[in-house]
Amino acid sequence: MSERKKLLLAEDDELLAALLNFRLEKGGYEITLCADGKAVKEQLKVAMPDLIISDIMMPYFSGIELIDYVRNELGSKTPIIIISSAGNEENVLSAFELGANDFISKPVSPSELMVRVARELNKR
Amino acid sequence: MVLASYTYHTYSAITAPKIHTDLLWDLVVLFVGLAGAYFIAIFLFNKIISSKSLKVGKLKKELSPIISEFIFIEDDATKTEKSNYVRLKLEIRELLNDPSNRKIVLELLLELRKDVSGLARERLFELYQELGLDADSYKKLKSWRWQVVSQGIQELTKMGVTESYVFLTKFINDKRSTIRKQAELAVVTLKHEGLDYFLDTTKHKISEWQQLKLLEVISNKSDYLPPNFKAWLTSKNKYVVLFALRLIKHYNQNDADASIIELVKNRHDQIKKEAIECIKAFHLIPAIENLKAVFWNSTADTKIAILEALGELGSKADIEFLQLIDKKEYSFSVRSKALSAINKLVPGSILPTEGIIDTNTLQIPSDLKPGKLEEMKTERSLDDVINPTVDPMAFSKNENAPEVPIKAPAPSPLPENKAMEEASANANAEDYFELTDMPIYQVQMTDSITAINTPDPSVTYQEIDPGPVKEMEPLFQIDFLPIVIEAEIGCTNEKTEEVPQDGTLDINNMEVLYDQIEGKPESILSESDHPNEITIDLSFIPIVVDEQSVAPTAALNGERKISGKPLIPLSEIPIIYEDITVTGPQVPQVLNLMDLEVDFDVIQLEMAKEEQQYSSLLELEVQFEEVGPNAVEKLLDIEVIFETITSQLDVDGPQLPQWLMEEISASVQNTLSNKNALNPDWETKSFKMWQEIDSLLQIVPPPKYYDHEVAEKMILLDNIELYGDGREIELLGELMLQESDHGAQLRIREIRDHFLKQWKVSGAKNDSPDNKGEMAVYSVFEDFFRPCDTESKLILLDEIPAVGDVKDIPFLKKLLFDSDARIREKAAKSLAKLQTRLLASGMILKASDSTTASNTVNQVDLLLDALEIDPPKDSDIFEIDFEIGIDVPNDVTNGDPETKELSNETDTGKAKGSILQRICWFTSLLKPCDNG
Repeated sequence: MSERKKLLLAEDDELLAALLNFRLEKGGYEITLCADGKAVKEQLKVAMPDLIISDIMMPYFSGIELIDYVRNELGSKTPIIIISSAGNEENVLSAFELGANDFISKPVSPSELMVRVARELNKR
Repeated sequence: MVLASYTYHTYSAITAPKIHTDLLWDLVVLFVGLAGAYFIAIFLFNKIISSKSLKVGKLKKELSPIISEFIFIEDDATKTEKSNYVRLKLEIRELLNDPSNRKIVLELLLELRKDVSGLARERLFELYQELGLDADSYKKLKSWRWQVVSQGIQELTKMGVTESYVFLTKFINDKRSTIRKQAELAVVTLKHEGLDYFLDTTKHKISEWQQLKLLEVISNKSDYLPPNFKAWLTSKNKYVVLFALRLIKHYNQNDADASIIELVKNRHDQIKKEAIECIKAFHLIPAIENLKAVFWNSTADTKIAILEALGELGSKADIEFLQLIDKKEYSFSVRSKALSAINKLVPGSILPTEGIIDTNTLQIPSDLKPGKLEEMKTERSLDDVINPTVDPMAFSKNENAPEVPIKAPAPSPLPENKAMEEASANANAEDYFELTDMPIYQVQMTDSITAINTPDPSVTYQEIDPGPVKEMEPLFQIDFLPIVIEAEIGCTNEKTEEVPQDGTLDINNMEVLYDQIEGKPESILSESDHPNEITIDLSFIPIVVDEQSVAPTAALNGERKISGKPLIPLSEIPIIYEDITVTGPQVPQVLNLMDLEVDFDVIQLEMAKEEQQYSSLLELEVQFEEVGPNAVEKLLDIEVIFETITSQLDVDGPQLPQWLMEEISASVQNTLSNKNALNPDWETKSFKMWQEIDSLLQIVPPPKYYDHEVAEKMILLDNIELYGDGREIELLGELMLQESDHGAQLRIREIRDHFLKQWKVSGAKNDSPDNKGEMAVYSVFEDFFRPCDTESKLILLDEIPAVGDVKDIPFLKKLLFDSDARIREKAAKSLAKLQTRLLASGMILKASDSTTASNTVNQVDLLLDALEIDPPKDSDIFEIDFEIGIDVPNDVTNGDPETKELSNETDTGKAKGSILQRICWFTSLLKPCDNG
């Protein structure tokens, strides 16, 4: 049996995080859930996941800063999928400029997220 | 005296009242008590609120995975998942008995709905309806409290219950504004035609904020084709007209010109202004007359809007009207706007007049030298030409002062451009006049052009009389050049002061900084060549270099061409090496050169396949370990049995190099000889071992080779054994009959016996299923059903159509004869729904009650004996007041034998009228269920 892929889900909305966590776990991934940017940073120091799913708007440490941290400070090429609310195009653009791999807008379609996650993991 | 006695008499009424100390203490106690109670109340309320929020948060956390489970349940879920789903459904049903929990679940669903989309959102909505939370929202609509009604409307809107549209339309004209606004948003959100309905029916004001909200809702709608909003320009509700105008402008619906132009005459300023905005947006020139007509009876703001529109749409013909406004209008802002409109139509026709100083009255200080005054005049006149000074504070300063009528020049008969040119020409003429007053000095600078012909760089100053200058023909026409004014003018003038009166200069003693530039400007004329011609000072002209001719070379070579020298190729540049001598203490640094990182590119050469294999073999990494003499002896003691393997590759493939072959064979021979020398009985041991292997191989039964079909059957049987249970016994029986191969028959029997054994162990009371050919049917709902109370049973029955399958049909049929009428009724409905769903999904439905008539008669007798029932002939015990089965449409059953079978089954249910037939049917229903 192949090893389950490890994903880091950074989302401050507890309900949405729980929902996505459930769906991703059902899809066969191992999820580490973080509610804010600080927790994400600490988690990344411990272990680097196979993929990061992060909301742009988070307490302490935004999704943009997270991408910057992963790409420039940690120097990691781990795929990052950004979740952002619609109409936040500027942030999305800067996220892509900093090295985000994909983007999914809120309201999130869990099925779409699954497809995007699978696609990013298959690219590696 | 009397007065005095009155005056100084002490009245007891005005003395301080005597309050008893006890009363004071009582009051103190009272107020302290009140304060204490107040603080306690605050503390308690705080505690209650925080504990409540904690409880809600905790419950939400608990409910979240349950909701997720409901949302992500799939049709092909396993039995365990389905069981879990049903269990959770029952759990949540129990939770929902508490109204506070219902509220929390509803909140949770509403929150989730805004975060998810796609299928998850649809499932969420289904869950909302399944849990009956929509009923709660509907109930709220009946409340007398406006906030509750509003909340109900909001919930239905957020969840997108389109069925509620009809109910919500009633609130469009509710007297309570909050409800009304919520209903408006709901109606527009729920259906595309909601906006039409709202605009048609609303009688109340639509606030600006509400208009924005509605516009936002419409903008976010997908697949929405906005209606033609001009239809509502005739509405009696002025707010509808206003909103329609805004929507017309927003959606650029420019087919309502006549109505919009007419609306300029509307008495309401807001509508008028919005119509003007539309007129401007759609550039409706025919509206100008209407605009002029309504101008004088409009408010100042509207007038400004009209003037702005006239400025954009008007022509010169409207200037007279605008000038009239300037004369007649009292409002300062309107007059300013009118002038601004005139300037828009004829740019530059109105010049600023406020705060402009009259230059004729200016006094020149007497101590100023004539030269400096002229210089100042020149500067000022030039500045005025380029940047006419307008005091920005002039208007504000003079607001309180009596208004001076602005003298607007009469409309010029000349075209716009001509008028402008003329004005500028006049201005320039004045400036030139001032300039001609200045003494003109000819300054010939030693620049790059003159330096060639004059060996020593020099500067010549020569005062020229303005008169002859005009008469002489210049060498170049420089009319096209712009007037360039620089600070250098001052410098030039300073230099002119040093010019002696006689005009002679000792040019040899002048200090001049110069750049020597090589070149041959042949066309440049020097003073010596043409003594009679005037050399024009060209130093102010910027040096223009053709970049296109220079840039490519520079860009390509990355070099700059210096002093006209040809470019030298990089390869031909001589390199000068310097010897670096390192002395004593610097030696370690030299050693560090080994640490230098060298970047290099790996160049891969294509190799032939054979060569690649060959090379890969040769490149095998072999780890060598140095072993001492004792260790060598130990290694030699190890018994190694080996066979000589001759592979195809060895025969046909590429041969190893000769030197390697020789090396290998030599080492093998050496090893063998060493072994024989150290272990002489090695051969005997080998022989013994082979004998043991042979004896073991004789025990192993010879392999059986099946043909392809039998092999497949065997795999199928293996799978049945692995994954199946007692329900497969019937299938195994059928396979047994069909099977001709003896081995396969044996295997089937083995599996069947195994299942039968399991069946007995699990306590199943199925008497010889292979005799009856009945399949043991087990419904997962039965386990949940037994311990439940009636309410839960009903809930469970609601769930069966959604998640149940063929196996649940017998269970439902069994429930058709339940003692509780409600369960019977619900079971019938669920059965019908389940059958419809299974039909639609194309699942095979086998009629479990397809027993033969003869069997049925026997079973009836047996059942009656067992139950000790002696039914009367005309008993109506089993009369049921509902219809069993489903109505299968003809188009569904058309040509489908399985469906026909099902419909026959249901027909049979209807047709069996007699008690005997009903009992037969009942027994057939009971049969598969008696195991559960």
